[in-house]
Amino acid sequence: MNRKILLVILVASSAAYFAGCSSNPKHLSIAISTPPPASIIPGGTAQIAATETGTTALIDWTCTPVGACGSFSTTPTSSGQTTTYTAPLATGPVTITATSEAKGAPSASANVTIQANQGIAGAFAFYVTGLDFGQSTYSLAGAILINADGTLTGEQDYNNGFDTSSPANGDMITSGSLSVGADGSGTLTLVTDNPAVGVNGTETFSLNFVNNSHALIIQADGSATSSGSLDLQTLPSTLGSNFAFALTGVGPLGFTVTDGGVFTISGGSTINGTVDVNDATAATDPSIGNTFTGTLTAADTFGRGTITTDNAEIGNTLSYYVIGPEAIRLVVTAPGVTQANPATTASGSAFGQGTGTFSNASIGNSVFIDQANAGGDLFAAVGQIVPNGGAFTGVADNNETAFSGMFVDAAAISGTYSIASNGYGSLSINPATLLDVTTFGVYMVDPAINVNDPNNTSGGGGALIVDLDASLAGVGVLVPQTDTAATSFAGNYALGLQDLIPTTAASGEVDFVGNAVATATLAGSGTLSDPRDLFGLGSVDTATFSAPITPDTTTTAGRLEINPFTVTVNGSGAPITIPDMANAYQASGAQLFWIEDGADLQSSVFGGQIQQESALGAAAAKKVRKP
Amino acid sequence: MKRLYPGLGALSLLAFFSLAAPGYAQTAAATTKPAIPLRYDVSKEVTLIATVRSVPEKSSSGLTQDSFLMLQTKSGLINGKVTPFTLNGKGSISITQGEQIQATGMMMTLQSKQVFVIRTLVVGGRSYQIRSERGFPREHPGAYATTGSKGGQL
Repeated sequence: MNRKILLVILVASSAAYFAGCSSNPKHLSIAISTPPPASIIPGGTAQIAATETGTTALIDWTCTPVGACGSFSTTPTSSGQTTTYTAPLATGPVTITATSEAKGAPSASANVTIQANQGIAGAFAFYVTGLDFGQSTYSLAGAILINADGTLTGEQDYNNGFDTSSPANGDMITSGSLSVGADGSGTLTLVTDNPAVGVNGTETFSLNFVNNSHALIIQADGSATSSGSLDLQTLPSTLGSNFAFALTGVGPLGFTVTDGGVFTISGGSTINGTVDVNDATAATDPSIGNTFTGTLTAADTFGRGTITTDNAEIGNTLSYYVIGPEAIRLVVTAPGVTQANPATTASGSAFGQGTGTFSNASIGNSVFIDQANAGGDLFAAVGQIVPNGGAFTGVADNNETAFSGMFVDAAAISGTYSIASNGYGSLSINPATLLDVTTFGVYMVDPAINVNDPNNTSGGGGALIVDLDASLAGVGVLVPQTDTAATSFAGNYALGLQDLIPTTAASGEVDFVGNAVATATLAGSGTLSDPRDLFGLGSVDTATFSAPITPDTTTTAGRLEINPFTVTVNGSGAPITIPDMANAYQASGAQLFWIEDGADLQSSVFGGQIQQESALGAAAAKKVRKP
Repeated sequence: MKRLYPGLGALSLLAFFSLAAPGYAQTAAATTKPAIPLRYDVSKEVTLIATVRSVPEKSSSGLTQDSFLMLQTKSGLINGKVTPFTLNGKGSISITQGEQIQATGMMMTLQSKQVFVIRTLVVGGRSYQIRSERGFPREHPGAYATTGSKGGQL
């Protein structure tokens, strides 16, 4: 072959090679210039685009898994041209790939997770307590298995102690749905087989997720209102041996009852414990240090089991719902309850105590909240203490304007406390410093357990508390105070509050759940459940607020004033404005408690949680444990 | 700490309260004064017969201020304080204007008002306990009604 022939061949080959290309492949590149979001709901859409350099060839769009990864409105596209990606109805990971038609050109890919509800799914336990439309204190706990598309099934126990309850085996939650927005707010609907609960058997809750495993919830459907928690379950779980517990409710004579203590589980089923009871109708009240025994049955597939006890003040029959080995929700059951034969209603929690022992040194700097249920003399107290070898000093607020017309703000408190090796103890506040609040039963929990968010690996320790005063009854928690810097109260928060309104003419309870951004102000919005229409705007309203946050520099760091806490309520009529005031105590930047300041002259009293939100979504969803 | 001292008649009382209790009584005039909580005391109960002059009605404006059962007695008009459950919800008690009732309770000063805190009511021949002997409210008081009895007068 001579050189001329060789040259002709090379030129012909090059011409043929580049006939399908517009550029040299060594200089070609492609990138997804408008990527999809990290997650998309099933059937959702996203605008995407890819941009090439070194070529003007068209771009083909493909995805995997083939046949179940969605579709593109336009393919191929030109460089920079958008196409609409439509996600499949099935959940799961999808890889989207843009490939240039230029020969030898590289491709570019993006990963997207198809998921509903910010990836929140799995087995969850819930509990709430509040007032139903008939003005009965009610207790409700249950468990649901939430599918990836938000559909669910489950079971629950409802008991208002007066005329409505679940059967012995509980109510079946035959269907329902969860929807959660990007801000964590959402709605949970439970369709039960019990037409006496909710609205013809359907209960609707508003909620706000704090993270993928925990939400603050309220019932908000006009049939009842209440506050509580929704928490991811670890199923199955083998319960630990030592627990602290507390319950709040109303006894069979119609008077408020609170109780708490410690118990052990032996052999997986035998319970032995000690309980303190605050029951205004009891011959001895408060009744301290009562021993009790009981039996526990194994949990079913939803994590529901039963407990029987020989102590009627606790409740002779209860159901429990497993959150994990060291956390269960409790609800006293009363199958077949009638007005002619009322029963105790109560709910609460039991938390593991771990394997260690306790002493006075187990309590460090702490924040507490203590709150009545709607059936009692209405009050809420919140404060912080600095222990010192069995004594303590501190600062606290108490709002009992609803029954005594009194309140205290930033009161200096002091007193003593004692914790036994099994975590059973008490705390006494010197009289005449925090009004009627003087005596707590204190029941220590595992330092690794966060009583406000049991799946949270931080913020653990502290105790459940029961108010054992003669003039009022309440329950609450005492948690370690680890960060009092006001600057730590910043970012996105979920908020909940239970507002007890005692007016003679239109009494009742309203509950709020929502979220807010904390900067120099606390600005946010949420849902207000008002089944008795105390605000005249319907049974489910929305509330917005923007309140200045003022660190209390005149007392110990950790107390914050949220004043004025002016709430605008929107519903079926002209909005109304409620001139509330609030004060908060900070356990850390992630956990605060707040109560209504009695100085706002509203006669109502609220108390609740402020919990810092973490990101929801695909990354967090990978941590969700499926049953 | 917030601390306001409206005029008090007795200097000794002022000294006692300022030392003993940083609590404030809530008043409609937005003033506060130190005080210690009042507790219901059955040993101070009196029983009266009265005519109901007015029954609290729900405000349409969403107000949450407390309101009272206005009772006409031989000694004059008094504010009868019942519980949130007395007139609301299942098991509430039907009380109408002009009706004669018997009420057992205790005079207390709440929110700067003299109030007759009612523990038991006899209405239409039926007796209702609406509070415990320590003053705790009772849910569904109508569901626990018993045959009524006659009482004294205030």
